[in-house]
Amino acid sequence: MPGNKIRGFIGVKSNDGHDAAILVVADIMKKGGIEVILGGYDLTVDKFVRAVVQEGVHFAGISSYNGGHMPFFRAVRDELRRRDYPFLHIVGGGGATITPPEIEALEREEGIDKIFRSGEGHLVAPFIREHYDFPAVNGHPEDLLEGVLDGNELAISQALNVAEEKARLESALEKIKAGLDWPEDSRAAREALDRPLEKDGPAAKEVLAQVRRYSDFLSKLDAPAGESGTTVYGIAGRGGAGKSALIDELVLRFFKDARAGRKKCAILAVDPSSHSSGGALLADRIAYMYATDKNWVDVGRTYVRSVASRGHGQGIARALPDMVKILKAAGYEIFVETYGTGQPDSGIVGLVDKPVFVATPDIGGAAQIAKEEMLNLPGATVALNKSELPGARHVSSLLRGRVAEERLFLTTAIEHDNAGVNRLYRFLTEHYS
Amino acid sequence: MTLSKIVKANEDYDRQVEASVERALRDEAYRQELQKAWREKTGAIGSRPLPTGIELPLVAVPHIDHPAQVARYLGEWGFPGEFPYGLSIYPRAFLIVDGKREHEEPTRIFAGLGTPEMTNRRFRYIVQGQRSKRLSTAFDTNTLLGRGADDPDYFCDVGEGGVSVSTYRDALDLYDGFFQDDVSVSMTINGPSLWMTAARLQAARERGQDWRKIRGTSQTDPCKEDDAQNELLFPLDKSIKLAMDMFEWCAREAPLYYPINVSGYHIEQKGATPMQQAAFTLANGFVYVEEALARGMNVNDVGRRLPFFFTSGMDIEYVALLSAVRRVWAVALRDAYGADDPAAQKLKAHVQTSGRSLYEREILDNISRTALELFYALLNYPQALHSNSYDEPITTPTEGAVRIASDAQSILFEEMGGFKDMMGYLGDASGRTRIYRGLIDGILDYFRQIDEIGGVRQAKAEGFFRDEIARSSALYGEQVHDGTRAIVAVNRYAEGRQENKAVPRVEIPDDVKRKRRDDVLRFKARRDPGKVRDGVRRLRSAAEKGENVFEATLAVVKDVTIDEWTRALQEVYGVYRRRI
Repeated sequence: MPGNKIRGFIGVKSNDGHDAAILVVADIMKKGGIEVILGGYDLTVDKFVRAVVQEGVHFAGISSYNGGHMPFFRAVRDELRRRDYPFLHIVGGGGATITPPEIEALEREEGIDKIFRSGEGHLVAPFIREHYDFPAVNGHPEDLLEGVLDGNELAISQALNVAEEKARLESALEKIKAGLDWPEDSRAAREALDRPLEKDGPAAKEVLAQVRRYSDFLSKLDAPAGESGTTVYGIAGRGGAGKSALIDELVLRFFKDARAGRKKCAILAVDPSSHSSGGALLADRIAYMYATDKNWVDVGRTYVRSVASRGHGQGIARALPDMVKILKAAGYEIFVETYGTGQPDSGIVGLVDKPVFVATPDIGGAAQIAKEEMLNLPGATVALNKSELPGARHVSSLLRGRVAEERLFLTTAIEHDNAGVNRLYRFLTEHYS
Repeated sequence: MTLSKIVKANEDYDRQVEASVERALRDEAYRQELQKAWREKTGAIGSRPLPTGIELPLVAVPHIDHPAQVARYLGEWGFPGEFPYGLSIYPRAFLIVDGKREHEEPTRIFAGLGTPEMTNRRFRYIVQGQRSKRLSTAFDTNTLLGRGADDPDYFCDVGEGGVSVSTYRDALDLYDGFFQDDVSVSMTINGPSLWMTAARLQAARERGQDWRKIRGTSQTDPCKEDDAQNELLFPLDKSIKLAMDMFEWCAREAPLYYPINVSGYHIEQKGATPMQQAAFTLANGFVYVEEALARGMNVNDVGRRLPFFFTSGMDIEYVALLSAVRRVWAVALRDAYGADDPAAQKLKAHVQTSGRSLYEREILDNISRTALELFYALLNYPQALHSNSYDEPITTPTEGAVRIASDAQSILFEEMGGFKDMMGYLGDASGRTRIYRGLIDGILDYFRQIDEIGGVRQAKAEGFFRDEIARSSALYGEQVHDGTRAIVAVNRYAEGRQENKAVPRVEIPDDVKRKRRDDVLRFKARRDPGKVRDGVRRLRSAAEKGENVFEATLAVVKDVTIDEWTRALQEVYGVYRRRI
């Protein structure tokens, strides 16, 4: 089998805004081939644990500088245990405020795998690759079915891991068939490379069998014919256009909207993988400030999952259709955020019910706009975000030539209760009632 | 908002200095005028006998004869207490001169831990035997983020690293015994600082103090929060609006209170170089100047109400950093903004030694580092000074370490003659002059870069300040790692050093946290719910209508707690959207 793709979640503890170290560590992990989800700072135990469970990661990393770290480490550990999270692997760091005796206590008695000291950044990726190289799917996928349909977060998370694994193995299989080696993900992969790979050899057969097992499970989640189910919104656009802030604001409105009733809401956020290392820095979650905060939304009815593109083009990931299917089966309205590389993120068009293209006033002139594939789709909805910036009027008149007036929204997502975002929300959800 | 007029004013000023030097070489009448002025200034300086038997002049004056040198000295530096205030904003040294108290000693020690009662005891300990009562309050992170001590999600942080304040009652307890006109209270708080200031003002009034005589500062610098500290509760533009509401109100009703402290310290701690600290902090200061002017305030009123806060670290730039920012400010206020009152041209500054320069390894070495940083700071004649405790890399300062840090200042003032007896005794030393000039040029260069992006607000929106700071921070880390930046016992002479395990740590026990929580819950339960509802409604309405939110805060602070205040305004303004 090709080796495992290791995913991790890292964040800074509650009331702590020291995010310099964690940004450095996240970059180190990405360069070390790890998919790391950046949780940002000031995370409560509940926020932290919820993220670990929803993201289905191999390990969790806690950074702390302000102090008060001992109870935080313990609380995260206990809470993950209480929720039966299968991968109870916690590492930590943050500098000299975690003293040597505390490090010893955490590592020896408190069940924390490793505390990295300042100056030990170079040890992080090797440690993770050495210790957390195990499959992301724990046990038999069939056992997850009931949990997914019941909306159990742990089961959903594992099912999403199945979807990502299936996609990864399919890619590997294609590479074998094309006479290429499979991706060098980890130690196991490197060992596998010593074996001769044949198109129909035993290794390929093993992968194929696994893909079939996963496919069989996922096919059980197909929606019954004729049932439309929940709505999938796709938010596409270039990096920096404000897609995450826009989704966060839309989710906030969703939870204030009486028409939405007890509906649940999920976000699938795609970020690009690194071509050179195979790792990824998945940072959208930080921007979902309202959507992950129990003071603003019912966090029991939200689900956020970060997805690495793993070399798939068009702003999405290969596993995305299956992931959407799982979350639909679990009853979620879904927002899909593409990774926006400046190319058209048209990959989501077939996948979602309501695609929205997020443009900004610096999008360029008429020729640039003509090149944006999503602007040229019939029925495209466009949010011209950052509409407070100079140039917005010019771009909006250019856009009016391509987009129907009722489908063009001038938004300022970073402004609270922005009228343009309000209009966009009403437009997208006009079918609620 | 662009900085071009500030750059231009400073460039013009430099040209004027050069012209004056030139003229002193050619114009005989001007020469005589300068020589006469110089004789008058230097002749008026008194002297003072020292214990060693020598007679020391009260102001250090360079030994120069030629009028061109005089012109350069007066233009580049200015006589102590004179424009452009390179040497000092005051003419005389610290402490007592000729038996007369001229100024307070600048000592201001930062303290706060656990409950308001515990911190109150620490305050009493610190001011023992000090001539002046200058308190500096550290709040716990719950308080800084507008959360109450009764929030179960943040229980573990109650009272850690600072004092927990959630209710009006807490403000009364915290400053009990210090509601006197000769006490100056500084509060290091930003997001909820309107609430905290209102609570202190109302508590003072309840104890019989007149708002017009209240002294002190609160930090309230949202710009640097956005650059470095990440502790904003509302979007930046709303946070600036709130700060200016309080600024405007205080100028009218509490004229001795400084509601905004423009802070470079956090920018430096996040990783900025000294030059970046100087440039970005000044740029932030000019944001507040412009905002205040846009509200129709008088520039003289604005200028003298904006004190600054800088680091003094181990880097050589700190030998003249404050001098350089003082000069850029003075020229800008006088020549770009037309402030004719010297009080507005004089940049007042609090300086703190650098926490980032302290290390865990061989932890007592930090005492030496802090002492030397104090020395650098004092060469710039700041108005207030904080020295870090040596144990800060690993804990909230312990009492013994705080005493050593405070003593270091007293030793410098009392035992060493320079700062006590003589103003500006290394003032225009050649090394200082070189660094001063380099900093001024560097600051102006950053201003030009900021303008190229589109001005201060635009540069912030595009992450320019944050990116520059992050770049410097990464470089600093690399330099420590590869040894280009020497740190004794860390990457120099590091062999055989022991880990320090013996330092006692300050920890807040759970029963103290529980007591805090229960006190807050009791306070909330005993209130009239109608008053709370009305208070929250009043706040929201003031925010929605664009009225002065500080006035509304003052009106409701006795009933509305810090977390309720925060939530009410977030409902209107939204939350601060974090950036990475």
